[in-house]
Amino acid sequence: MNLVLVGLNHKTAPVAVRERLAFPDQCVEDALQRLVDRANVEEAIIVSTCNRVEIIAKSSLPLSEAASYVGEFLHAYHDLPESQVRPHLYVHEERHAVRHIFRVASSLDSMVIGEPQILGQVKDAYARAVKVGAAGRLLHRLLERAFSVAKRVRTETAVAAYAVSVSSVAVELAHKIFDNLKGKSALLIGAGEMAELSAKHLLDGGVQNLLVANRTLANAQHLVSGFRGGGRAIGLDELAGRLHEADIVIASTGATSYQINERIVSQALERRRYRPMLLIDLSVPRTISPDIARLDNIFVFDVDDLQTVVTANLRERQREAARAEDIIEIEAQQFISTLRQSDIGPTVTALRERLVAISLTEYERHRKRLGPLTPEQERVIKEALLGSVINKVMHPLIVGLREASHSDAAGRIDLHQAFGLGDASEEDAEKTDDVSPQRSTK
Amino acid sequence: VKTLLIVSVACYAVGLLHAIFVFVRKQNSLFTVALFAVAAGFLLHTGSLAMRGLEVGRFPLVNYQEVCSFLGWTVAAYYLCVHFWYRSQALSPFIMPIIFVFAVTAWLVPVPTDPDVTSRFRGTWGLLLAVHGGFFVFSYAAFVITFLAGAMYIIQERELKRKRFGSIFHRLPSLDTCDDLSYKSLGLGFALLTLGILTGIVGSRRLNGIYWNGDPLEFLALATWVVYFFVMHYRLTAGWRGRRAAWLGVAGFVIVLASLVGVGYFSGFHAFG
Repeated sequence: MNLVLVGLNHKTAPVAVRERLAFPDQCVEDALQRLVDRANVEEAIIVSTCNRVEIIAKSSLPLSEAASYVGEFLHAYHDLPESQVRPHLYVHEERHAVRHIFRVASSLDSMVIGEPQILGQVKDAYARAVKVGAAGRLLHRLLERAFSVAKRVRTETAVAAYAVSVSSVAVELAHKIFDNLKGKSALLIGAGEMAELSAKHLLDGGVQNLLVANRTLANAQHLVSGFRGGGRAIGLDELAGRLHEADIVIASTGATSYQINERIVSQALERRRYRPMLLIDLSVPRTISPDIARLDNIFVFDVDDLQTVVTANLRERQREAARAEDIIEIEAQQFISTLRQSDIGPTVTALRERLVAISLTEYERHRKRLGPLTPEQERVIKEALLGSVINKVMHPLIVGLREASHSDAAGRIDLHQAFGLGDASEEDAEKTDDVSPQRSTK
Repeated sequence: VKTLLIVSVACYAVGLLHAIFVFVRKQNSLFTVALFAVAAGFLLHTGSLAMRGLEVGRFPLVNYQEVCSFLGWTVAAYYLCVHFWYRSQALSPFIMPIIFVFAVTAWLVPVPTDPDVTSRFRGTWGLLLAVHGGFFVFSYAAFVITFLAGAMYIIQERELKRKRFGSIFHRLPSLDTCDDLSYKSLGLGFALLTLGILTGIVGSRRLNGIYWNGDPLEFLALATWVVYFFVMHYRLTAGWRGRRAAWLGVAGFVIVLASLVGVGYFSGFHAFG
């Protein structure tokens, strides 16, 4: 099928190289149109993200030539010398290319394993290729399969299950304590960028009441005004009096002393009838005194704690990734074998050979009755006459075969059996079919 | 009776295996199948209890085999209720083994033939047995749930406090859910226990003329009631929740267990047979 994948990613190339080879969104379609010239490259997709640039192509050239052709296109398009690009490139062919695409779509090849963006990026790349007509039959099938493999990996393994960023870990912890964040209140101490990001995560998680405490009230008000649900801004002096309202506290201040200590927290706890509180301290130096961890129903985490969770979760994802690899290996093999079944090339060749053989045998059988012939006449009969008869017979068969293979395998005429052809792909299938009962009884 | 029980044990086994599989593999498929298996097991179990009752012509709660079967059945009932209430599968790996163990015990323990003395469990006595015993079994089963929820709370709270999350962490329901479940089951269990004790006292007065027989099971029941009374009291008045309430729930359960095991050994009015 002549499928090649040429590209580079965050593991093989530094950002300095990646950024120069990246295809900006507006260039992808133009690049695809230039690449798919029909003579050398029949179908192509360009996946270009901040971590990878990959070209998947179906070529009519032999595999090794196809790979260098696509590689050349990559640096020529960006006007870069080959020597700068070549060392970073990897090339995958056929089955390996299929497996690589499955791995990429399933987010196993990502910098953060299991991150969800890459699937969307591959989908976008596919949509672009479809739009300019660069994706043909092979790539349609390949990408559709890749998307369903990615879905399978997501549901059957836990590669994407654990939070791996500091702010998502905070939300994960909140879910672990409160289950549902609906109706819960959050208090942000500090109105900086970190506070804003956490607020966004919490609001997305369902938190409904938001308090922002800040030294300068104006900054807090500014932050609050940006939220959909709205919130209230308070000064730092009100902190002790309002703390009990919050189920979740996130501190990210520049304060140099503990703003929240054991005394304030135990008062707040009493006022909220010991309902649990989650306090997350993102600031260095810390804003929340670590001593409060002694109190019952108080859960306090600082930056290091969150980082530890992130590391542990990443390890967990890696363990799951090993299981995902098995799924992908099996899927890639299956994809290749169904593809080979629907490839009519070998069938056509075998059919033609068989017809030629039959016609020549029959010709020799009746040769005597034709009387003496000149070599020229004999050549005309053998090549022109018999050859064109064979071609005429073959034509509808080939058309039928091609149509059948486009739809589904079940409707195919079983020419192998009809003509006793037995070609290469059939033999392959037999090898893998050895366990079937009919065979084992023979 | 036994056939129905065996089939329902098999159904519970499906639920148990699924729970273990999900727990180990972290995959979440076929839960509906497992749930249906447990529900089917529950229905068959109901059938087996009903048939046993018809067969012996009294409420099936007189010997060890029947108590095990009945307890397994009530825990299964609670499990299904909890599922429909919380929509959480996280409890399965913890509750399923308990249901399974009770059901298997009920299956393996031979069904004793009724001694003559049980013939009195007909008529008024039978009604008293059904009400009084029923309250106790349902309340003990509720305390099983309280205990499980408390244990899950304690494990999880400890991991959160230590900030080290083991493999079990991600499979537990949230602290709030555990606490809520433990509170609700505690309230239910406590109410049923109170009713059980009251029916016992009233019934005893009516039929025997005395309020208190003074056998060990009655003391244990009273101790259980006192412990759970304190949990309820502190929860309601002092805002106790979480860890302390969970530990008290576990402590109360120890007495419940002692009562359940003891019911077969103690002599006295409540002794079997």
